[in-house]
Amino acid sequence: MLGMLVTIGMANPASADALLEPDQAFRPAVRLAAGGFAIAYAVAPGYYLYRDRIRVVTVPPLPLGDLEMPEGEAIDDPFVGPTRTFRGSVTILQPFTASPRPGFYRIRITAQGCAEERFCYRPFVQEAVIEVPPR
Amino acid sequence: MRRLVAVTGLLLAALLAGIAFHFAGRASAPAPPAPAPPAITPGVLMATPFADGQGKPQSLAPYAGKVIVLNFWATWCAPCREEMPGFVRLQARWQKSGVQFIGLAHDDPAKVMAFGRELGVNYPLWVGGSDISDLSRRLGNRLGVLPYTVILGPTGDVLDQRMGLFDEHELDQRLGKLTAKSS
Repeated sequence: MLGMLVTIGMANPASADALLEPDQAFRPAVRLAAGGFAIAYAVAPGYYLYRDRIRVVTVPPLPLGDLEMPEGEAIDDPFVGPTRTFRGSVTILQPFTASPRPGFYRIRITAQGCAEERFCYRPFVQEAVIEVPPR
Repeated sequence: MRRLVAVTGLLLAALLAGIAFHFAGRASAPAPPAPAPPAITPGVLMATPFADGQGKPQSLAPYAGKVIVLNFWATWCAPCREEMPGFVRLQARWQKSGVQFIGLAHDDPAKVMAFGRELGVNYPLWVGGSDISDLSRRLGNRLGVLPYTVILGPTGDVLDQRMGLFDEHELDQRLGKLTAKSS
């Protein structure tokens, strides 16, 4: 399936010491995939993304199912409880529940993450545009 | 002649080593994160309404004249929680010198109060919604990170701020200097 590949935040590779913009720390590349679209994250060294705080919406709205994600790495937070995180490279799939109409769609991803033992980001929004081509 | 060559060689080696050290030193020292300049006046900041865990209105106005350490945090933020025991110690240490810590959380009031009780926090913990996040950005938290800590002078001027963890020893020394100046 053809589609538009969009990478958000084309930053240089980050050092673990740097205090990065969210778009540098968590770089999602969005592309059409079989049955949905894939979001391939490049998480900078020393940073992690909360698995269960990723939310996706589209404009205009597409029929979306539940995100399909790897299990990630477990963290037992003494106050928040068990939490799962992503580090390094991870790809998640946002499935469609029905065939989308051809056209351009803005993908709006809300996510949250931290720099290990240093600081956390409030929920941040990243956007990309994909094209669903005519069949 | 041989001696001259040897001395020149040593000098050249020392010069090159010095240049290498200079550049290595520059490369290994990451630039400190630079906050944005505050986009809020001290008067507005001191009058900004907040609420405590019971929903009672609060503001910084009653603390005018003190050195205020305003800490933005959240219960879900592990680095924030790790930093707070140090703030509790510093609040106890500098209380009589006119230092007042205040925690501001964009968070669930029940969770904030539960964590405050669990840790034995000895300073006010106030809560709010996105207005607290907006305030941190207006003060200079350009990346929107937590923890974020601002030191205010007696009239509400921003004296210092830190995106990320504020080292306890460093903050202790900073408060020592500030209270020495204001006393």
